[in-house]
Amino acid sequence: MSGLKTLMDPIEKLLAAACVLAFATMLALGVLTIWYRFVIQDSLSFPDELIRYLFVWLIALGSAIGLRRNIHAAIGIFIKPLPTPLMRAALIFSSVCVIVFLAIVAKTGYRATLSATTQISPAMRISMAWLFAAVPVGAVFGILFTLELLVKQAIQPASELAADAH
Amino acid sequence: MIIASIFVTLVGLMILRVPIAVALGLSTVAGLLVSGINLEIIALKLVGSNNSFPLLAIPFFILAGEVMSTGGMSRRLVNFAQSLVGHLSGGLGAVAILASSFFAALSGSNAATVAAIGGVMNEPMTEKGYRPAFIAATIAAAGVTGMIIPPSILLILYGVVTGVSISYLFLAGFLPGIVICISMLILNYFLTKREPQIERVPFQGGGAVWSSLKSAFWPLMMPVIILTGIYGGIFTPTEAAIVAVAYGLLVGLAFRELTGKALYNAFLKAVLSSSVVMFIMNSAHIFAWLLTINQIPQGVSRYLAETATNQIVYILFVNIFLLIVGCMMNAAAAIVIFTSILYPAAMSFGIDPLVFGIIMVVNLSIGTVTPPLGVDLFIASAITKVTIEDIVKNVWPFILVLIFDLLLISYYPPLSTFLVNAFG
Repeated sequence: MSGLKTLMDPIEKLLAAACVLAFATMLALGVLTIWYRFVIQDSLSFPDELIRYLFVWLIALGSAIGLRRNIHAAIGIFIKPLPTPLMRAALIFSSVCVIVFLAIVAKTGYRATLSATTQISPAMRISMAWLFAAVPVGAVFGILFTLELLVKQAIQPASELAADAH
Repeated sequence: MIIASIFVTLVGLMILRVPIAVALGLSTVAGLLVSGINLEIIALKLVGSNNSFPLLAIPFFILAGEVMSTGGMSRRLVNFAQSLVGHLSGGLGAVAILASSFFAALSGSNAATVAAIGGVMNEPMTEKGYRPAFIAATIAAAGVTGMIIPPSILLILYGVVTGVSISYLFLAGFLPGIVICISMLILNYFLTKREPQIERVPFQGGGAVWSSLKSAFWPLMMPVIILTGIYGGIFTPTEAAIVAVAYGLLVGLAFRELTGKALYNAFLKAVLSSSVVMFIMNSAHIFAWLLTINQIPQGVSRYLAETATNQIVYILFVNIFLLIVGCMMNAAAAIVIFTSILYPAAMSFGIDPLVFGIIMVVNLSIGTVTPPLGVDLFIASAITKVTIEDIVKNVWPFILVLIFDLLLISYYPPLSTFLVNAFG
């Protein structure tokens, strides 16, 4: 269990740093665009597109981190009063659902990425695969983190289990 | 048949604590499989719904709120509110409500407002004899203004779904937000009258008002810059959000309260909160699309047009329905799904799209302080260590007042449209 944690911690740190970097870049580009429009009175089209593409990546990776930290909105009130074995079963079921959904997202996202390789973005002239790849990549990290959560839910003692059911 | 399979899957999964975004996603998958549509549409819609400039206002307004809290601005706003109304009967309760409204004008979410103001107000209110359950109820209820006073994440989502101007929606939310703030101040006055153990705080004098105003001046200028920028037609809401972050960073640096580490954490917190909102929004978006291609909004619209005889009845129906939905469901998911279902009928009844947006947002915001699933209640409970049950016992007068405000806003459209007509 602790081995799994030592493996996943650096992955999460790395994704978090990538998200913060992407966000800071989006902010800088946004300020740049506004500056150009008002001070230099000229419009830039590439930052707008890059900001939107970074946003898609930010949400894909950020959602994956959210899965590991178990912060995504869910309704825990109905399973909370259940006896421990049933609560454990419900939590495991919910994690399996997350994995099934993300597997569908990863698979369809992968296909969408392949079919987007030949499309070229209007402003930056890069392959649209760069945009679409966010979906399968985010989903795969999400699956990894949820598998870790699943192992935890399967083996952790009852007292810690209730904290997951918020 | 398709409809039944979608909704049964959705409710079943949500009850079993499947994250709402995933429950929406899997019900959509079920619906697509039953309708025989290729699942690849899911990936296309996920990218398509995020690849949008107006939606970018959401992460940037969330970031602005985080930068504000990190840069010591919530404390300055509280100090200013305290010098103004702190000496009145129930003064600190009024401070919490007023400071929440100030903060709401900086951030787009009620959760951020409750966390920021509740975190600062809990200690001084406890010291002055306020009951913990009363404190929790007040900060939770005051957070409702966070979603209504612009900027507002829910209004951005409503604007993106319907194509109504987000700038006008922000303008429309302004007076309803102030009405809610004032009505809560009045309620607080009467409630605190019945609590003799609360100590009065003496008036600090005009000098204190002046010096706290000076210290809160730069944070208070932020909404002024954002709002004049949007309504002067200078900025789009997304650009205004970017300017808000840049401004917050500058002020935070000038106050010397921002460190590199704190800044990194503020960015990361904003990434995670945005992801939680957007993950739900994305799934709700595909879900709503599936409902639309199955003609469900049109069917509901036709049914309602036959059942509800006029505008007044329809608005009443929408209010009751959304209050119930708000108690059960996450506001971001609800606004995306139910806007696409209820909006066409609202238009056929001739309801102003701006007023309808405000009605929806006020309804769903009330849901954040109602049991069993009010987000504000959970945050207030985490801050004050009061159980949800005890908060609920104290929060119901606020809910009644909010419902009164809701009816006022629903049936007196000039509250929403006056500023738009005057400045729009």
